[in-house]
Amino acid sequence: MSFLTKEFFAQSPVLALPLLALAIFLVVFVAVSVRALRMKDRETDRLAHLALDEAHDE
Amino acid sequence: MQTQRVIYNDSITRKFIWASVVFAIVGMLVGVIVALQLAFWPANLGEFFSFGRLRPLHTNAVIFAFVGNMIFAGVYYSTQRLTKARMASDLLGNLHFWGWQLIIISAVFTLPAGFTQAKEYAELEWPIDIAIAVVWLIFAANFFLTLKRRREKHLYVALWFYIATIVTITILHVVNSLAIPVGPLKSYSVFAGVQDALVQWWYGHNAVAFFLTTPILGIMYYYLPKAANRPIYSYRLSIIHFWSLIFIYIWAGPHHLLYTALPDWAQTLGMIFSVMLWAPSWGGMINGLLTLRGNWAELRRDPVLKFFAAGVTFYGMATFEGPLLSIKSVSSLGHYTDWIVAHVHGGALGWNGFMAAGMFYWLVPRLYGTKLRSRSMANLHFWIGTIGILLYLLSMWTAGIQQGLMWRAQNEGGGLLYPSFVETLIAIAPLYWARMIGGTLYLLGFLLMAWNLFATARTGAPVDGEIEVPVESTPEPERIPWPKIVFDKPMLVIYAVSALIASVAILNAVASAFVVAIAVAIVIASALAFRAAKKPGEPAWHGLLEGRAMIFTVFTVIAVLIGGVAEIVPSVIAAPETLRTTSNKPYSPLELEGRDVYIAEGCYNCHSQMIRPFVWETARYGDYSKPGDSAFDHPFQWGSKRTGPDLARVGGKYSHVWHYNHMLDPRSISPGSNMPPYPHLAVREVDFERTADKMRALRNVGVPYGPEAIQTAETRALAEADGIVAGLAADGVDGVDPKSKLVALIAYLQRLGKTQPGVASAGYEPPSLAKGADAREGANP
Repeated sequence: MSFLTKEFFAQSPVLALPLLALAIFLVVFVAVSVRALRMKDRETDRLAHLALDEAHDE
Repeated sequence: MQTQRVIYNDSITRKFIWASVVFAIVGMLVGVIVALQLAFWPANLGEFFSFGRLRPLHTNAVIFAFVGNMIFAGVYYSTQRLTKARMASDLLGNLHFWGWQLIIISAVFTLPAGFTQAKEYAELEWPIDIAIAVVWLIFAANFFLTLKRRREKHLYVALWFYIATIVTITILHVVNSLAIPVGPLKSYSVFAGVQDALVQWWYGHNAVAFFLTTPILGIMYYYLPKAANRPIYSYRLSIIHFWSLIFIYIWAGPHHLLYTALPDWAQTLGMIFSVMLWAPSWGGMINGLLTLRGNWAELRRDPVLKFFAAGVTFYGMATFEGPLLSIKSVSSLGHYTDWIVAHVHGGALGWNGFMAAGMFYWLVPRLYGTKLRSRSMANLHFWIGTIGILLYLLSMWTAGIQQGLMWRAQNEGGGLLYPSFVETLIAIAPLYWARMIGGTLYLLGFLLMAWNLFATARTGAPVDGEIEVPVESTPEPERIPWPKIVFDKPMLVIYAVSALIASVAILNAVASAFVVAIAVAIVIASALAFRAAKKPGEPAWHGLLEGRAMIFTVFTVIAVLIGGVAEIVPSVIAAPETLRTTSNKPYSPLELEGRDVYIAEGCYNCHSQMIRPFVWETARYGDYSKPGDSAFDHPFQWGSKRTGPDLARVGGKYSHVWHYNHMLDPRSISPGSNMPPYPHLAVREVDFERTADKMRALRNVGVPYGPEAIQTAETRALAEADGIVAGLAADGVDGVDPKSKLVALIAYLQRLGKTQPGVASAGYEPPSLAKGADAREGANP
C-alpha cells in the first residue's frame, strides 16, 4: 500500500482529491441504497403516484 | 373544505413546444446538409455555408434549440403539476422564452459568419455566452420560486433531475466560457492546452449528461407514468438512479481524451467512472421500460408509448455504447472515427428525438383540448424515424470501424497499408450517402409530426390546466431547521466514514486495513442504531431532504462539484509547470492571425491536432503529442474527429505552394478529398491593426509576449507574410496578397509541430508507452 501511495502521489499531493471524492461517492452510494431499500412499500407507492395525482388536469 | 382554483400557465409550454418543433426541423435540415457535404463536396456553398461553419450550427441548433426548447416545455408543464402551483412569474417565463429564442437567432447569424470560440457545443462568442447565463438564471429563478410556493411538500423524483440540470449547467457553462474578450465577437479562452481540453470535455461530456440526459430522465419519470397511466416501476430504484448518476457522470469527461497528452491518472479516472455509469444508466432504463409491464398490448396501438419505449431503449443502447467506447483499448479504435458520430446520434435521434416526439404527441392534444389529428400518421412517423435511425447508425458504425481498422493496418514490411489518408476516406464514402439518407428519413418523420401537431392544434383551442386545492391546508408540519438535516446523525456518519476511507491514501497496509474495518463497523452499527432509535411515524432523514428544495439543491451541487474539482484542480495547478518547462514558443503575430483563421473556418471539426502514442499514428503523422505542444493554445485545437488527417505536426511537411493550391482546390492536390475549397481566404484580408490587441489579451492569460513583440506585431506580421509571398512567387504563384487570410493560415500550418525536438518532452513520457502495453499494441496491430 505504501508503495502504491508513493507512486500515486509522485506527481502531486493534490491527487488525494480524486481518492477523497471516490470515498465520498462510495459512502453516499451505500447510504442512499440502504435508505431506498429500507423504505416502506406504502411510502414508495404514495411517492410514485405523485406523477398521477392530478384529478382536474385533463 | 374550502378550495381555490389554480390555473396553470400552459401558454409558456405551448410556446416552447412550437419553438422546439420549428428548430428541430431547422437543426435536422442543417444536419442533412452537412451530411450531404461530407458525401458530395460541391454542396459546400461558399464562405458562409461550408462544413466547418455549418456543423457547429447543426449541433447547437439540435442541442440547444430543439432539445433545449423541448426540455423547457416539459419542465414548465410537469413542474406546475408536481408542485400543484402555477409558475411563480409569467414575466420571467416570457423573458426566458424570448431570451432563449434570441440567443438561438444570434447563433444562426454568428456561426456561419465565422464567429466562434472553437470549443465543441460551446462555440458561441462571449456576449452570447453572457446572455445564455442571464436567461438560464431567469429560468432557474422562476423554477425555484415555484418550488418555494409548492403545495405538495414532497419533491417528486422528476424535480430532482430538473434541479440537477439547472445547477449543473450553470456551473459548466460559466467555467467553460471563461474567456478574455478582444473585440465585440472575439475572445480567447483563459485556459490553454491540456487544461483547456480537460475543462472543455468536462463541459462537453456533461452537457450531454446534464442537458441531454438528466432533464430527459426527469421528463421520463413524469410523462411515461402519465402516458402508461401507472406509477413508475420502482421509486426506490429512482432514488439510487438519481444520486448514482449525478455523482458518477461528472467524472467521466476525460474519456474524450484517452491516449492524449492529458495526464494518465485523469484518463484512467475518466475510463473507470464511465464504466461505472453502466449501472445507474441501465437502472434508469429498466425502471422506465418496466413501467410499461402488463401494458404491452397498448404499446402496439399507442404512438406515445411507442416513442417512449423506443426512446428509453435507445437510451439503454447509447449508455451501453458510451462506457464501451470509454475503455481505452476500444477508444484506440473508435476515437476520431464515425463510430463516435453513430454513438452521439443514437442518443440524439433515438433518446432525445423520440422522447421529444412522445412528449409532444401526448401534450399537444391536452394543451388544445382535443384529440391527436392522426394516430396513423404518428405511427408512420415512428416507423420512418426508426428506419432512419437504424440506417444512420449502421452506416456510421461500419464507416467508423472500417476506417479505424484501415488507419492501423500494416503491410508485410511493417509500414502503413494505407499511407494516404484519403484512401481511407474514399473507402467509406458510400456509407456517407447511406447516412444522409437515414438522416433525411428521420427529418421526414419530424415533418409529419409538425403537420400532425399543427393540425391537432387547429382542431382545438388553447386550454390551460387547472386544479382545485384546499385553501386551508392541514397545519404546516413542524419545519426542520437546516442544520438538523445537514448535521443530522446520518450525515455525521457519512462525513466520518468518508474521512476514514480517504485516510487510506496516506496510511500503510496494516493501518489501512484497520481503518477500513472500523469504517465498515461504523456503517453497520449506525444503521442498526438508527433503526432501533427511529420512532414510529417519524420521517427518515432522506425523506426530510426530499421535502427541502434548497438543501436538496445544495447537496446536489456538492455531488456535482466533487468530481469536477477533483479532476480539474490538479491539472490547473500543474499548468504553470507546463509553461515553465516547455521549449515551445508563443505564436508569431502572423501565425496567431492564421490560427484565428483556422478557428473561424472551423477546421477543428475535421482535423485533430493530437497524435496518440501508437505506431500507426506516429508513422502517419510524426512524434506523439506532448503537453507542451499546445501550452500556448487558447483555445486548444485537439479536435475530436478526423474527416481529414491530423495536423499536429504538419508544419514543414509540405511547401507553401502545396498549401496554397490545396486550400484553393483540395482535389488538385489530393484527388478524392471531400474538403471544401477556400477561395475566399485568398481575397479576404487580415486586420493586422488588431493583432497587438490580441497579443495583449493572450499575455493577460499567461502567454509570454513581451512589450516589444506586441508593439512591433503589425510590422513583423507583414514582414513574415512578405517572406511567404516571395516563396510562393519563387514557385510560380504570383500576385498573392500578403495581407490575405490564406497567407496567415499558411504561416500557422507551417508552424504546427515546430517545437524544439527533444526538449519539449523533457520530464514527460507518455504513460502508455512507458508502461509498454500500448506500445506493444502499437507495434503489432
